[in-house]
Amino acid sequence: MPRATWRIRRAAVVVACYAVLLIVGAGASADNGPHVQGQGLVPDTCAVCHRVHTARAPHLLRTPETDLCYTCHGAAAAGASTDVLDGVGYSSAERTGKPGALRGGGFKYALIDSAASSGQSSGGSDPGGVVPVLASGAPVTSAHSVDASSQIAWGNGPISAEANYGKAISMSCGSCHDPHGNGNYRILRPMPLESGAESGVTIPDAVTKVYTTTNYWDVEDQYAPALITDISAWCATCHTRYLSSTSYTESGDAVFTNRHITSQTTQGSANCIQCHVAHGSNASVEEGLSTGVHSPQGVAAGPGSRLLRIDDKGTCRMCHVEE
Amino acid sequence: MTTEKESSAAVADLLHDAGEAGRADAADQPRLTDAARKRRRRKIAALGGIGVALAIVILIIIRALSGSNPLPSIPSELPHHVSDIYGVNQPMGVAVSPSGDRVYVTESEGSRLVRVFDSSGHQIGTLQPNSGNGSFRLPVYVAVSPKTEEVFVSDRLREAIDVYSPSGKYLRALRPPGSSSGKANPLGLAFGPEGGLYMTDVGGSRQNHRVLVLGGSGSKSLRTIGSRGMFWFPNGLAVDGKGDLYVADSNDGRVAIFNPAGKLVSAIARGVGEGDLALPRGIAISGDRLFVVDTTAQTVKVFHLHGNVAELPTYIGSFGGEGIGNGQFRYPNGIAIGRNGRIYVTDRQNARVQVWEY
Repeated sequence: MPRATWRIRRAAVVVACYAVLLIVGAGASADNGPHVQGQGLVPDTCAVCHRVHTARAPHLLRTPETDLCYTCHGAAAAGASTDVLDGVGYSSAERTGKPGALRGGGFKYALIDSAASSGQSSGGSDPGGVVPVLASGAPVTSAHSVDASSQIAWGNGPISAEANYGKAISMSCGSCHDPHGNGNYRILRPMPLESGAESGVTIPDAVTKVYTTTNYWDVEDQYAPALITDISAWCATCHTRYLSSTSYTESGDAVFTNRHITSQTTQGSANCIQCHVAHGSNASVEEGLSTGVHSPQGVAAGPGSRLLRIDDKGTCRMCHVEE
Repeated sequence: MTTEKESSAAVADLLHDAGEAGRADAADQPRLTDAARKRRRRKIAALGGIGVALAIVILIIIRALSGSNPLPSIPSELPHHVSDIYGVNQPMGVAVSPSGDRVYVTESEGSRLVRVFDSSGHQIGTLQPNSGNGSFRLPVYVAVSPKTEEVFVSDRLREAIDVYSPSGKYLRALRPPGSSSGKANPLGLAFGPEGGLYMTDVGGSRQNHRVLVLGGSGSKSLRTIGSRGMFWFPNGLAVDGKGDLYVADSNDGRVAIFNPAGKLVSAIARGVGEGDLALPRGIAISGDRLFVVDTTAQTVKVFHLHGNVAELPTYIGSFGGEGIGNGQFRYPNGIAIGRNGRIYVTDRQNARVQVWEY
């Protein structure tokens, strides 16, 4: 092969490699992939979190995952605009003179005014009923686990005539979120880790991101309509048997036999996040109200809020107006 | 050959040396010959020398046991771990009073107080603003004015810098305006040689992140350092005696270095090589040394400053390492150096402040 031709081919390969890197890098940083945005995929960036041969935690992480995430997203949020421990969003665009509230709540505190009567008295799926945000955080009464401890993914698995409540899984931040960015809304994994789902749910990212709200009732997201459309299907990748298109037909499952409709895809309708928050809720539920709750696997019913947004039966009253 | 008289004199001499001579009547003592006098002088001199040597050895032992080192030593390139201060929940920032007798530590969990310790590590008080429960206040970084000894504490959650008197009385809150709207989100704090208060503002997107210089009382903004988009969650700050500014540009993984005019002149960059940074947070200067807390590397990196701000600091080495043992870190964050050279490092996940010294 002539030397000139060989040089041209070698240059072409190099240019092609750079192009691939640029394309991959741009894709990864387009959805707030937190550790590559603006940096591109270069080894130096990877090394902030990873070690190839001397990692001390799974996924080749230098340190345990949740502690690593909290370094930026924990209290103080020294490297991010979202404090998932306190349920605070710092993005100034949503600030109204007091801390913005993460709509997913927080893992230790949340800012939901879950006792607000104005939210409970609204009916007919009217999101105009305002559930104000607290001026300061209240301790959560229920939350998804992020400390890698084992917990039950309620309803996980197919419809079963034999009593089966779900399966034990280990959860951390990376179970649901992909820290490298993946083009999905809130970098949600199409299939949460250990979910056992056979197919994933893709929720396209929004160009304008809204992580906070001044109104917890308003779970709409005009910037990401796909979130409302697909969020129940996404939650059901783990909580498989909670997904129901009707409230009136028995499922045939020994545990999740009759279920509230959860699959509506329009704004303000019955889907998972209309009633629940994703991270943690500070709502209170009287113990007496949950003593009769069918308690999976013998776990005693307690005052936990089950990630509900509003105190006691307020969540029901958001839609079902009392006469 | 020894005469009888000389033998008598020698015996008397020995008796005298043994302390017996004191009991003898001086008048009864025989006259000493010149040779005997010389021997006596040599013995006295020898005994005196031994006594002085013994005194020196005893003095050295006593001073060594009392903790101070009277012997000149070769300065070590890196400090060693001395002790820990416990009783802080997820500590983030740390500062030392100019006299070195007080150590201020911010905690980001639990009661979220600023805890005040004496130089021995005993807690002597706490600081908190007048209002706000535990979850609504969030002290992050702390700095002490070298002139007034007032204590300045950044609280991003409250969008404020809280100011306390040296006696711990809450004085006021500073709330500088944000770069585009609202209030600034303060994080890192440091005082310059002219008395100005430097702070990092991480409000809004990275386009709005910046370094602000406030007047000594913090009442007004004097100037802004850094162009739009230059910083990404700047955390710790340090200003040397000439006014050169060192910014831990955390999410960019670098330390940005500015001359007193505010011009970026050099930077220690992110990377995987010796002395490269990962996620720098706290930063401090002592003499010709720059200390950078590299949070995810679980170490403190030490650099030599050349005196010319445009010349990139030379990496000396690092101390720490990941773990829960003595001298090991789990997500260190803040750093401060006292007048006595003691180095204080907040060890967040181990819930302690580590004390190091040379």
